[in-house]
Amino acid sequence: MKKLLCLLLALIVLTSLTACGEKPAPVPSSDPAPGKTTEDEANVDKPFEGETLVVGVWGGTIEKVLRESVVEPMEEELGCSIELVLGGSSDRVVKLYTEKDNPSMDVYGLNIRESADAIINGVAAPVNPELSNFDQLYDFAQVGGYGQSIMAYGICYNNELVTEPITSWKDLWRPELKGKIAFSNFPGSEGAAIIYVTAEAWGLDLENDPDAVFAKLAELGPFPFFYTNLDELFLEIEQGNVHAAAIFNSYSNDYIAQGFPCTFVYPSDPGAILAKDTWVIAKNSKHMALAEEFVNRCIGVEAQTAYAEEIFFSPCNKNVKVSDEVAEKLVYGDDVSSLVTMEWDVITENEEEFTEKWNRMVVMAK
Amino acid sequence: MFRAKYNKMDAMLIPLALLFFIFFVIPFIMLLYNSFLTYTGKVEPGLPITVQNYIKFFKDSYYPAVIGRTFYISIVTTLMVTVLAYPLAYFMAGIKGYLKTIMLVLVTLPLISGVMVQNMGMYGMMTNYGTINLFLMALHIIEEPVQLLGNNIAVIIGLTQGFLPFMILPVMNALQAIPENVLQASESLGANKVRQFLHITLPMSFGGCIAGAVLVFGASLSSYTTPTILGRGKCQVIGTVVYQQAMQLFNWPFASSIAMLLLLLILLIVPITKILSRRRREGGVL
Repeated sequence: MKKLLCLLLALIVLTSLTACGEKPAPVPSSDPAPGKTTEDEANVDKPFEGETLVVGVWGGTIEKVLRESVVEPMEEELGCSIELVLGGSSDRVVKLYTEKDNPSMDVYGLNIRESADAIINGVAAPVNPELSNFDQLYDFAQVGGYGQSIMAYGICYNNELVTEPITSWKDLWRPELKGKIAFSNFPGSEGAAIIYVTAEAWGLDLENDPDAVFAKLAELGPFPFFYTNLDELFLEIEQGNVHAAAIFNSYSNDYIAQGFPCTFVYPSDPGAILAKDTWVIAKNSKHMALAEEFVNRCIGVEAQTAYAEEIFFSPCNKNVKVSDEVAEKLVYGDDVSSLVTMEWDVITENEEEFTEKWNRMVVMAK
Repeated sequence: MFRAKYNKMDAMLIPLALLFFIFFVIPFIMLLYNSFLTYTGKVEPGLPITVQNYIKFFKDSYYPAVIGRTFYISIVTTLMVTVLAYPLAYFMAGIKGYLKTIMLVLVTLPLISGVMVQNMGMYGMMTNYGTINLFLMALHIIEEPVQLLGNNIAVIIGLTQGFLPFMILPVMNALQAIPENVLQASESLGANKVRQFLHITLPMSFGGCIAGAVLVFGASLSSYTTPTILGRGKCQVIGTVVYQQAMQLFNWPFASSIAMLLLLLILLIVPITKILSRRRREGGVL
């Protein structure tokens, strides 16, 4: 009886531990049904009738605006169905690489670095300049995947508690802010950006003397926590446990609009860091034409305007026009050229070593 | 109960054996193989075969420190769970009827609700603007909110709460299995309640404690969700380091070797518990 009970309990442990895991991967979309050609002739205006496109993308507000501006119109006009698989981009990267011969998703929303690497490593298709909206993208949005939205990595701070405005990255090292600053953890593009910024701001050599950079970052500690969730971060900023956080502009504007007492700045020395959300298509996607149609619509003026107006995501399409009120919250027009393009190579090449240094020196900072 | 020979009914084990083989044995061999491959910087590891991953683990003081922290958390959790669970199990072994059913449901409820819900609940209570801080401030015990999350103690509290049922149920089971007449016999020979408890009840329920301790300790060692949520990215344990290596750095060989070392450590605990329970059977005193 005791053994039985133990077994039962072990089973419960296992199920409860796996219950929080990710959702099962979607079944790869089936090939077009036989006899489709005759149907095609009858249905010239709905060339993708019966096809299913699987798109991996972030959830929350992004999902909502994507559905309204791209997914629903496409399904109606083309007769295809589009399945959105929601989640963070690192899960998608694992899928993209491990399923490279037979991908379960066709289109992947990734960050600036992940998408560029995926194309270099041959798991994602190179960009196709033939897409009709491609030329409307900024130059930086035409490389390493199709740019969807520009992000500027800057500082968001509690404007009631921080009386002297923050204007430069170096301001984070002001003594009164010690122990009141939050970052996202490394590895990750936000963690990478703060490492890069620290080296640039203080003139340190990340490649040859990384310890100096991490020691400089550790001076800001002890860190209240490393954020993984923005609701949590903004609550902490409102409560005063965190006074300032390094974060992307698009997200913080969303919270400022909700009434949090925060200001977002594009800090100087060296400047706000350019990042972007990017689409790539799996190299071996069985629905290449439909996937390209999807991406083309995403980078088109209509969808890009919806992203800008509804969730304050800065457009990668040069032809998007928005009202002044919206433009104020975006990286828009001339602002775009002021963003700093980060050199990722040093961090990517040394990611493992830097993770150990981050874990040891920054996470444990006293 | 035990048979020396096999019979036809044993064929019913085949489906489970197949399931176990496909979903455990094969992946386990792959994991073991993976742990000797070379990290290529991409997701898929490559040749040559190397023991570098294991050397790396011990060469850098960071990883042994993580093991140390994980063990510290797991040992304290196991002790806390034992101390808290035993009296409740003792109480539950002595009751009957509806009260017992209600108690059993209450004890197992956290298991049914799932680890994520439990941890988010704990998180909500322990944040600076959470129930505990608001309560203490309302009573003027503290003036400013106290930082409860983001340290080992928060993780230990979370694990203790989560794994309590794993101890209560086996201990209760062991206590119920003590024959009534043994207790009566001791009473008739003049043992008082304290003596009865120390010399009969406690030794005879020791097996249940060991079973519960193994479950709690093993589950604590490999926990990931609780350290992540209640540790707020600041409490690195084996589970979070494996996740970081496997899912963020794509260093599957190193992640596999850490997983292998964790397994090895868990396997080492089994003989220790065997020795402990054998000592008991041979009449050793607790």
